[in-house]
Amino acid sequence: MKGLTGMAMRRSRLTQPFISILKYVALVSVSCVMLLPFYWMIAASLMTTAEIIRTPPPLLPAEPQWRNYLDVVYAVNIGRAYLNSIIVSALTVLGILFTSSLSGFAFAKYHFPLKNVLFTIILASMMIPFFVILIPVFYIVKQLGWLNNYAGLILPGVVSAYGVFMLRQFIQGIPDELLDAARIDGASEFRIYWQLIVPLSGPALATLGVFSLVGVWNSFLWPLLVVQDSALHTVPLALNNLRTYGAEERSLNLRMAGTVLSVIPSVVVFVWLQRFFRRGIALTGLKG
Amino acid sequence: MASPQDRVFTTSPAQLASSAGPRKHRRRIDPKIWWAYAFISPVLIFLLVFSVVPIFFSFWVSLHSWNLITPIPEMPFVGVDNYTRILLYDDVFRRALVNTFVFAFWGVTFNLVLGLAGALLLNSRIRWRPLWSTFFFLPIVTAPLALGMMWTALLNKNFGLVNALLGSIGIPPQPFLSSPEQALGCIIFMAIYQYVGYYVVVFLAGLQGIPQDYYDAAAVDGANARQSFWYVTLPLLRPVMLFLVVTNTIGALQVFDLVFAATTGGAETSGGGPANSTMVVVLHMYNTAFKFFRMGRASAMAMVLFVVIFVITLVQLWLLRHRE
Amino acid sequence: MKPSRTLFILVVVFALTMLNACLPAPGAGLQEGVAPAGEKVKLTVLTHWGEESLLKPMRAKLDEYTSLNPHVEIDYQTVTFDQLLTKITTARAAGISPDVYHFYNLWMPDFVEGGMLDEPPSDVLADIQANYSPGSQSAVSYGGKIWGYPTELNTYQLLYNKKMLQEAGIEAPPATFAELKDAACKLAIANPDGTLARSGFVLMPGWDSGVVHPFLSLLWSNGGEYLAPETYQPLFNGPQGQATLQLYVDLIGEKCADPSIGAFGNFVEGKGAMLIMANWLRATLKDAFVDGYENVGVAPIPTGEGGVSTTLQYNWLYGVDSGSKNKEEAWKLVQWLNSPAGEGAASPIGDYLTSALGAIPSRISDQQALADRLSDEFMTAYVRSAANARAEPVLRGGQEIKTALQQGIEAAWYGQKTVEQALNDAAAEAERILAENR
Repeated sequence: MKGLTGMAMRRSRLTQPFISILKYVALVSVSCVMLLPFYWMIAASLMTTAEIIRTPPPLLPAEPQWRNYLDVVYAVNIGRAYLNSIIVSALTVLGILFTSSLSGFAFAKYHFPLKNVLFTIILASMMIPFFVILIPVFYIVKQLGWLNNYAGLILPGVVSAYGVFMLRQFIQGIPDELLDAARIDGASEFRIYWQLIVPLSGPALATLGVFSLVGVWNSFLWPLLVVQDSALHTVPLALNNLRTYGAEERSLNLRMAGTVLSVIPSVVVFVWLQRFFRRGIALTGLKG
Repeated sequence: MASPQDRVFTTSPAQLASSAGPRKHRRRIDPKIWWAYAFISPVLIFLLVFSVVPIFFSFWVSLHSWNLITPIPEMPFVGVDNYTRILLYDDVFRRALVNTFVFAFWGVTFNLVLGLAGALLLNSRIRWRPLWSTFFFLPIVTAPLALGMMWTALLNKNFGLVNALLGSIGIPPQPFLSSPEQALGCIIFMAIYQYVGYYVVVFLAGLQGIPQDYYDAAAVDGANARQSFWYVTLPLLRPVMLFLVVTNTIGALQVFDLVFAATTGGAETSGGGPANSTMVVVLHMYNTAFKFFRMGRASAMAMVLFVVIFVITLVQLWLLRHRE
Repeated sequence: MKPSRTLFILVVVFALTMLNACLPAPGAGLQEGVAPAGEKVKLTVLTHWGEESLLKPMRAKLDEYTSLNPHVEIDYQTVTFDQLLTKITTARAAGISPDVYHFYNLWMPDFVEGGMLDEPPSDVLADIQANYSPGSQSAVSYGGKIWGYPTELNTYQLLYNKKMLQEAGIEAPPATFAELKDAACKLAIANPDGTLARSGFVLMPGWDSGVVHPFLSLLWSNGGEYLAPETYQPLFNGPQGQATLQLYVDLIGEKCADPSIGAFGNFVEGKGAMLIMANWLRATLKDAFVDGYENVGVAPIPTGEGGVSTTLQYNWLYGVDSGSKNKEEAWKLVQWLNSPAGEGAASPIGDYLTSALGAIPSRISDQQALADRLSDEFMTAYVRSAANARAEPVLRGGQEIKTALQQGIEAAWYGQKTVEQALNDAAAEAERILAENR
């Protein structure tokens, strides 16, 4: 397959060398700008306190302070926090993918009474800022006995109105004929969902997966309120202990080191999920 | 990687292509509606418990004066006082509404155009595609704190890199975030910067869903690249675009983190400055609830914002549907 | 498909087991229910002193208490300052409030009105009345009653960069409004394009306390008044208030100060020569002041015509939850923390504040017992100023009025409103806030 795309590329280079160069110029320049904050985080994480509170901070630390990372690891129980974050994020994201694709499928491919009303309610649930409903949600979670355990961290987040909408839009694009063919083959509705809709929604699921992961992984306010026991601290909660009272800026280097450690999983997952984004391209390559 | 559907059901490319017209609405009631209800039930139950009920509670609170501390059964009923207060006597709220609209409109518009351009670029034949798309995605995973800090340093009036660059082409230094006139523009720019990756990724996923056969068919009919973009790509991306416009407008009208990170120097500052030029509705709401102890008034703001967003969403759904 | 399905089933099984393991004891780890007689009493303490460097010394103090009182068990919970209020309010709504709070005195009115705080027992009251300055007592009072132990104390003073003043030929720090303006204008350095490279006096827009606390200190030192004593009617828009704000506006108009050089960090970094700021900046100045900590000068707040130099003070305090099942034990703990460990010795909190935090303890006997830790030029000046400092008024809606005033002041700084208009608008908003809270 690589050979095929490679050939295609060589061909396009021969026919449209100018456009091709322009493309790479655009890619490189946009990428440089996009890399800035990442570069910034890494540079800041290696600075001394004196360097980081300078205005403006220097572009590079005079001497990289690798021990900032050690300090972070010593100061907070980062291993336990990683484990908690992985458990919470993995289960929440799986939950979101499952519930969103299921109802996205239903809204895209079935006609049933109250469909539009129900869909509007789902959309409407996105229109209230979370902290306005924080107190009732917290009360409900407490009544359910979910405070201070994984259930409270995971379950309120396993449904995403955003995800339902996203998958509805993508699944609408899957031709009805495929579904009918499956029904003629005697497949149950759930089997159609599981063996046809889910595989065909690959790119959308991967996209939603990454987005929800970023959201859950960085979520701060909710875990802060739900968790009392530091053994249940997620990464953002653990890193929050690095802040210094009354002089936030003085601990920024350590906090940036913590941030670098905390974004790595999201980047890894993004890189890994890219193979799903490329699925369609692979098909194109074969056909072309 | 083989196409997944081949493994499950045998469908020839011809069949795929013949289903042209991406959607065919069926008007008869599906006999399998119970399946549909079963499929949506997890979402409905969870949203009922964790969103709908709390939103009704919030509405109820908006008719009361509640300082978050008084036990809920004892909070005094004040009728529509909270609403008249914010709609008639709250200059900051009005200012915040205007700023929020400006932010949402420009933020979403620019991101839509740039996101599509980025997705088309990444979807064209290029080398090292995963690398480029990872770079595009990096600002999304970066903490708002880091972004806020970076931009405040880059845009600094006296020693920021941006002003140094402007200076080298003869433009005098701009105050950017420290000026009431330019701050909101800077925030919009930051929003574009941080969120354009979302649009690129969603558009990319949308582009993957367009079968190559459509382009082949267009090419057979003699369409050039521009025509196939206008008559194949864009129409088929409409569901994706509808999704992006609606969800991102909903999100942008509730912007909070970004403004908070860019305009508060530390935990103690209230944000939205200078002189309220970047004050947005949700930030004002947050201050009202958790700094001023006025949850009733904050809830009333939430309800007003809710109605505004709801109406805008309906208009968008209608507009984007109408054109089909 | 197969591997992913297996994975999915595995994950679901794992999830269910785990949730099962977590679910059975609802409220486990929470302090619900009364401890049966003879069993351990569990006290939950909630503060914002959360980072490791502050946790360890505090844990040591608490361990000392539990070893002296073996029947007590302490759950010490911390959240950061900006989340503290959220944590308190959600916990209260769900009925899982801690027993002891440490909080900012401006929050007290709503805490008291909402029935959240317990009235201190008489021995605690007597102790506070006897051993704390009038400023600290009024800072922890609301509705004529004291509600808890004052801990950390902050006042405002004029900070200046000694080296810069020397270079500009200014011999003594400014003591009056006129001198402040002269000095600021001498110290400001302009860029060729007319903007400022160095601000004579650093402003802190966008931060309510950073704007209002220095303004009020100057206003009081100008013989003016913030809010009327009993009724809290706004008085800050009177002639003294206008003169005070006019001082700022003149500084900006004559290019001696610039709101865009607008954070205390600018002073620390040498982009500004003077600043009115609270003593908690000391730690940052020690670490990072551009010309070295020994070049930080501290002077009383400059006075206007006929005014007496006055500074604003605010406090943090320990209070006890009115719904606590163990109020008596909670007050005992708080009292132990704030009482001298022996004759002439410091209290555990005083020791903690001066060692771990570098702050000023409110207790007068602590200020004396720990004099050696408060003896550098910087701390001496602040401790001296605390003796006749005025507390930030504690009233319902106080935070909101403060924000309204902040916004008025900033509107004048940015030239959006005249001085008179800005203060009158803020006063009108303050009246509305007062009417709402009556």
